[in-house]
Amino acid sequence: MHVEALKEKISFKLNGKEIEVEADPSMRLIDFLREVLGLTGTKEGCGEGECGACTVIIDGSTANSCLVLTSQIKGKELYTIEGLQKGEELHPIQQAFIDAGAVQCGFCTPGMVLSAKVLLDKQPEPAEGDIKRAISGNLCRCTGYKKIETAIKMASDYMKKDGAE
Amino acid sequence: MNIKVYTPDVLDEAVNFLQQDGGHIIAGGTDLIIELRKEKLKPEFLVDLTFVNELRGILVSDETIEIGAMTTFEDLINSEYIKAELPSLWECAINMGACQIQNRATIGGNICNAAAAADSIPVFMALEAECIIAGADGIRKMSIDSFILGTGKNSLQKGELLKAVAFKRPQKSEINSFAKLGKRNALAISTIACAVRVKVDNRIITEAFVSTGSLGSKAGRELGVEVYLMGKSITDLNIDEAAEVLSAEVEERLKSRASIAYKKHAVKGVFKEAIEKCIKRANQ
Ligand code: FES
Ligand code: FES
Repeated sequence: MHVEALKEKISFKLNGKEIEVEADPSMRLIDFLREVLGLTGTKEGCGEGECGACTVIIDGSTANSCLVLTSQIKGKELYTIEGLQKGEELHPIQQAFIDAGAVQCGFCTPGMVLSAKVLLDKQPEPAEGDIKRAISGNLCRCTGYKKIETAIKMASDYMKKDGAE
Repeated sequence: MNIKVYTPDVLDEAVNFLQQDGGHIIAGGTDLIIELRKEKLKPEFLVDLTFVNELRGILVSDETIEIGAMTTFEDLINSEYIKAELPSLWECAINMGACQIQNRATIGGNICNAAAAADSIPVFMALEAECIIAGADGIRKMSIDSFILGTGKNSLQKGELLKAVAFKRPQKSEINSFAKLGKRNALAISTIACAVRVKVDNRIITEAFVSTGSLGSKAGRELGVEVYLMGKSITDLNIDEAAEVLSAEVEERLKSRASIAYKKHAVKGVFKEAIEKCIKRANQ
């Protein structure tokens, strides 16, 4: 027996562009991004909201895309890691992660960078406690976090300079 | 997952969809999506409340506070009013999990899932909150204590949804606080939450509300220690004695459980932390 997949048109803003896609609204957002849209920068670790590898930005706030249904993003503004880079140029946060040596296996990096982005958008000069809190939902098995915290501080400086130019 | 999803924009429409058999509500989804994936739940359709704007927000009026069921923990954290007047709720929100969860998880979801460790429930119990329920016949209300039936069980009937929680606006003479032991993801056994609210007249406690979470199949008020606190001076309170009263009460209730040796001890620390915050606030 062939069961027709329940698809409907989902329109929302992705990485700055309005898009409309046919999809199963009960699909998890992470599957929608990776399998339907081919955006594989968003990673799946635990699938249960514990690791933050699947972090995306929805209407300016971070979310675990393994715990969001596609129906929930209709009309929303979504950012994934693919939306940060401008052409060839890395986003200052990405650059800071590389410069600080905060990327080892890289699995946690997209999520970390997006958590850092939301933090820096709200608080351009975060205190150490703010940084810790912002990434408390992002697990990293490689770096021990110190370098990630350094990277976020560096990113804050880079962005200040960018802004000043 | 190939499940039909309705996305109503208004409350009546949401209630209408729920009149059919086999539906399930999705609020934030942070708990539900895991259950769906594990096939612990197999609904025929979902009613996604994301777009029902009237369910989201904090309404502060002269007499009451009403918090819509789709209000997120992040909304609570960002509310200046909650931070200033309801530190118990604010502290519960800021400690409930990582940002990604706070941003999505809703008050209504937290209450309706009725997990033994759902932190907002003891806070609302100490505030004597009422649950406002919407159904095909209109609105009905019940105390949160009767709304929660046990772990994972609430009083919603088929076709109903939780619209909001409401409680009396704290008066000048009131102080409230919250404390919690253990982290999310830690074993449920080590998560104990305690909410305290006292009314104070001339330094004397005239009314006390103490509730705990994770000490039994549902959160609840701790009447013994409430009685103990009444009439005592908030400035020279014997905190240790109060904690013993609570601990004895918990021991009596949970005596047959394996976790009791740990819990009767741990609850004292959590309670002391909460009451000490109240004392500090009374002295400000
Ligand atoms: S994959 Fe979503 S939080 Fe781990
Ligand atoms: S760099 Fe490997 S998990 Fe963070």
